[in-house]
Amino acid sequence: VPRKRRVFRIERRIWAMRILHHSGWHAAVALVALLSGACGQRDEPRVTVPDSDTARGRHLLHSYGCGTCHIIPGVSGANGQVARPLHGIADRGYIAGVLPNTPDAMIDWLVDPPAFATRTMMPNVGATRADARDMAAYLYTLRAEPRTARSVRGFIERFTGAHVVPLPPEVEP
Amino acid sequence: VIGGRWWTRRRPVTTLAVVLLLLLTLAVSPIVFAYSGIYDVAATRQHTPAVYWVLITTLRQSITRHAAREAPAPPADLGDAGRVALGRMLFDEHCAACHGAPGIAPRAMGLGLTPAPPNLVTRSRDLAERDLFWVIANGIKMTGMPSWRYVFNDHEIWSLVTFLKVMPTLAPVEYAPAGTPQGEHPAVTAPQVTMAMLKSRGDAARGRTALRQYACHTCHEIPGVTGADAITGPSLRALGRRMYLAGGLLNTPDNLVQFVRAPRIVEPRTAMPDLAVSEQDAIDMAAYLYTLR
Repeated sequence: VPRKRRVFRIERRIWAMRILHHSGWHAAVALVALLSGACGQRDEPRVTVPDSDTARGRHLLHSYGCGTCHIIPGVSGANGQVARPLHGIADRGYIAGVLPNTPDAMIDWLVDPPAFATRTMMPNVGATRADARDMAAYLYTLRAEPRTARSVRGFIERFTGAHVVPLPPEVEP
Repeated sequence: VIGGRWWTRRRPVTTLAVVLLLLLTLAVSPIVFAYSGIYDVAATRQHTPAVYWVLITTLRQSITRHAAREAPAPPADLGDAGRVALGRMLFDEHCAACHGAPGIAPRAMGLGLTPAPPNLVTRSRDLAERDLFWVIANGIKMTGMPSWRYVFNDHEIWSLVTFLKVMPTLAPVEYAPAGTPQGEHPAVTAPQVTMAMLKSRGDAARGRTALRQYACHTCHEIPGVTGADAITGPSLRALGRRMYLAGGLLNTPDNLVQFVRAPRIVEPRTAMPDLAVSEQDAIDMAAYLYTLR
């Protein structure tokens, strides 16, 4: 890449970050939230888990310490940096890449992860099936952004080099 | 000329001439554009985000509108076990070659297409049954999707729709048991891949193109790759910052290349298929993925 163009790219990025800094991150987040709202109803869980208590599930995610490894939207203190953030878990195709994303499979997985994936770092936390059922109910409320919002977020992130949805801190691979 | 309305004023001929010239330019420019050959039709060249948005939005809206008007109502026995079995047979024979299946890669003919045939695990889960019927029956213009109306009868198409709704609830290991033959390449690589090696041997720009040619973007969100907004697999954003890959592999260049080349050796139950990625291509992909921070 020619030097002039490289300098331009860096300058563009610095300016974008300045603008975002001054207008506040809230603007970017609000934009994505607005688009999510505009592009479809996403406040309903993708599937309902029968005989479950969503609010209890949210507390259980906190008390089983899931937040030490995962970022979980809506769960206080859940900002773990080890495993994947759980944004949009309700809509993903697979659980941990090995199980289909259905309520039954989700409950099985939460009860005993190492039984399903040989390499997983996720431990068996000793959750009962009833507890897992409630936790699954909460996880199915964490919907993915609609496509357009996802594309716009991707574009903002790529252009500015900053992340709209929080991510783990820098580690050198 | 003083007074009078705008349209009653006398004006010089030049205004009219300019307007006519503009209209003529507007009419002629598409013809000039088409004849000039400026537009690059190479499938390796990705669309710009704006063009992609226009194309994909047209496609989605068209499917919804036309399916609502033209597709028949689903039959009463849609969820029948017999239909699932028939649907799976037809899917394996006619669809999996391009779309892939849980844990199974598309065959060579399904790779390297623009637009790439989507992975159907989340796509068919989220589409309405009548939309699926309409797409299978009529095909989609300017994509690789053929119309199947003259090949299958309605019973067979509805059976396919039934199976497409069941497929997202199947574990990859149920669909493709471990040991299912998948291409023929020797299990992975002699040299230890390091960050220094990615810098010297890897080509990030080539890797970004390779990610599309191997259809990675049909399952993963990949920043910088147009159309990579799928949610079947995990997002690859900020891959360079992650601590682990595939649930429990330390995030090192060597592990990444190993997992890309032989996912089922690393994790036998994974939904990620073996795409027979060559060593150089895997190194290029890794070089690109580590630019995502």
